[in-house]
Amino acid sequence: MRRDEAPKIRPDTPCGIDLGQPKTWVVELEGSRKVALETGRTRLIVAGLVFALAFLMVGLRLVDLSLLQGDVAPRVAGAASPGGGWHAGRAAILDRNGEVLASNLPTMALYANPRQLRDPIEAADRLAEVMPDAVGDRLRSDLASDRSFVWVKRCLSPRESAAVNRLGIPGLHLQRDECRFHPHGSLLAHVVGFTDIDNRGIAGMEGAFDTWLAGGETPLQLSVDLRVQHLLTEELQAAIDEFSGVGGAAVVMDVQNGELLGLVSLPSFDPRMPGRAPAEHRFNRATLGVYEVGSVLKSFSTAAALDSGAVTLDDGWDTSTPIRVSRFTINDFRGKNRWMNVPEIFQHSSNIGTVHMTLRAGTETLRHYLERFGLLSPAQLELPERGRPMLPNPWREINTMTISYGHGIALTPLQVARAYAALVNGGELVQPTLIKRLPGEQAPRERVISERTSEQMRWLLRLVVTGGSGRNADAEGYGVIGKTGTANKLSPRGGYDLDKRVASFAGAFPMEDPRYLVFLMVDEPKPTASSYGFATAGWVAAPAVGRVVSRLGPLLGVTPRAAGEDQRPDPLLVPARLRGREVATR
Amino acid sequence: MSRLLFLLFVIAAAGVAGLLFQVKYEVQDLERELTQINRQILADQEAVHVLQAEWSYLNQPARIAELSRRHLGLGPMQPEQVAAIAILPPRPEDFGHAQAALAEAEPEPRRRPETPVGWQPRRLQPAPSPLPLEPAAPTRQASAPAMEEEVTGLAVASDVPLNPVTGRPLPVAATLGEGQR
Repeated sequence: MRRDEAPKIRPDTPCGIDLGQPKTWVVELEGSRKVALETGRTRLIVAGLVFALAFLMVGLRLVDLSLLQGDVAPRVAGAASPGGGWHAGRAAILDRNGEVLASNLPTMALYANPRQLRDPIEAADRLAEVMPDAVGDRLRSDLASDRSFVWVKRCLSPRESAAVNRLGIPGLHLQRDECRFHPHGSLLAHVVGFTDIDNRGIAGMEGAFDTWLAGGETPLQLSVDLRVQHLLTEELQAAIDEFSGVGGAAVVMDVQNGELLGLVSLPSFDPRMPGRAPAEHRFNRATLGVYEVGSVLKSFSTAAALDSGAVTLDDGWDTSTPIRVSRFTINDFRGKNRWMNVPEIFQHSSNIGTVHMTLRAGTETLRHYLERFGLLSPAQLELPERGRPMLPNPWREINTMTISYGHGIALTPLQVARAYAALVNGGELVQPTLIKRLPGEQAPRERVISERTSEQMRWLLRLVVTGGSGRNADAEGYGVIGKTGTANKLSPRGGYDLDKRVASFAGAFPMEDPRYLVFLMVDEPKPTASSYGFATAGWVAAPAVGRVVSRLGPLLGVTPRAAGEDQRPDPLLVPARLRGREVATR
Repeated sequence: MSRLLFLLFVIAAAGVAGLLFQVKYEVQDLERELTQINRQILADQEAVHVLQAEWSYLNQPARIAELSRRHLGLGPMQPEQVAAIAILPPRPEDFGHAQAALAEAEPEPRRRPETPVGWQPRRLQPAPSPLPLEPAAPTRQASAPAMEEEVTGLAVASDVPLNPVTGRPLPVAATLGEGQR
């Protein structure tokens, strides 16, 4: 204390004195007390500063949030919303136009806890009123058992689940479940395939893309066009019904990029209950079944002979004498018995002439070309159901002779379609696919025959439709080209069964620049009165293809040509350059 | 002074606390709304998914074909029904009459063209007709020698109304009607 006056020290002040006004005197402490006081003050200042800083930051953040960041609300809302939205447990399958072909639907599954059931018999009876198909003897015994979990039915429709709820039986429980649903039923059963009860794909595209579909949210878009599939099915079914066939297959393919717009195998089945369909119905005739296609194969042997240069369109043979090789005799079906040139041989589908032609080209040439046409190896496709062609082994000269007109080699319709596309599209083999190609996507392609041969073949195929066995396939205005093929089926006793046939037609349109290929096959057609007792391809498959083309044309936007413009080529007036001579023919 | 300040601070603190609570409850409400909306979105997406499947089911080609057959009476399109632009008849432009300029011009309300003063419809020469023309017959008989005179005479001395296009006298039904009345 320096000053004289005694300080007004409040006795209850814990340490030191109030140094407020008036500042007439100062307390100065010394020693350890002073140090303690100084330390306390420093700490207070530091703590105060820290708090001030914290409050300042809170304030600044408040200003930042409320004034500066106006767009924060949507971000917060976005962060709170569920990621990606709702999606089914298994991705959908769409057709090329986006129509749903298979989709997972949220449904209810009904299970029972038999221990909670008071009266299992009554519960079963009342359940049977609501859904008679689900209640059988097995369920009755299950409900009466001592288990604690029994499936009653899965995939309940909303109506059924409401009805079960209304029953109000204790011990029955509904549970959310997902069910695979095929809106188009049997129409695409062989393409889309089906799943088992736990939604695992086991056939068709469901099986082939199972992992993709199971994990994915993006739907799988097929190249199939629902409308094409429908009209193809309708016309094929009509042909089968008319000629009482046992089945059939049909393929529509885009010859430029290999997309399959329709792939039909009849009879079909209901993909909801594949187990109830006979195995024969589940069998995919279009990709798994192998058939002898008969004269359709003459297109390939003729193309091979022409493309190899062994034969020109001017060449001709006498087709009046059957060819005898060891115990076989090769004859013509309603032959012309005269000398014929190559266009005539092809137009009238002469076996004798084709054999002569192929023999000149040689076995190796034929094999080489069939190999390049992809007829000797299984066709690649996404579907797991792919058939292997049946080839002669060993390959003797007699095999060359029979194969040249389509016997002794069994192929899947898909293989024939793929090779035919190569024949007419300018000579390039494209990979068929069931997945929709992206716009501008180029299909892998491989040259098989020259463009010139392909054009010659188109002329020859047009001759078949205008004046040969394929006349019934001539859809007016669309310039159909194609070849019929009728083959006898192998008999179980050996040899051929002359009453059982496979009638097929491979066609394409329009002639100048083919865009779509139609292959149609009817298994075991029987002759009818309207076909004048014939059950050959010209009467069975060709008219069906004609109807298919006349319905496909407007659907796929192929411009028809007026009837007057449709010049029917005279077999003797194949354009000059095709005949190899500079003769003015036009 | 310090008391006033203290009071002010207390009021401010109370106000801020009140505001804070209000904001908190607002945020809570908004969050509840957000959750509800999110749930609604999921339900809607599920419903859309189901409806897509139903749409596809209703679009079964066989069903559409049956409906079309029953209600529309349409048949498959025939090749004759398809026409190309190239086969349409020619337009005036194809003969050098530019209509494009007119088409771009501002359309103005057309007035009815006024008849110029003293304008008379030009009478056309009557086509030589094998049919006897009743009113013209006496004139022809009267002035047989000159064909020109016959025409002028017809044009000038026309009590009978003439068809301006053919030059033939119009049927006299109107006068007949008057006479009858």
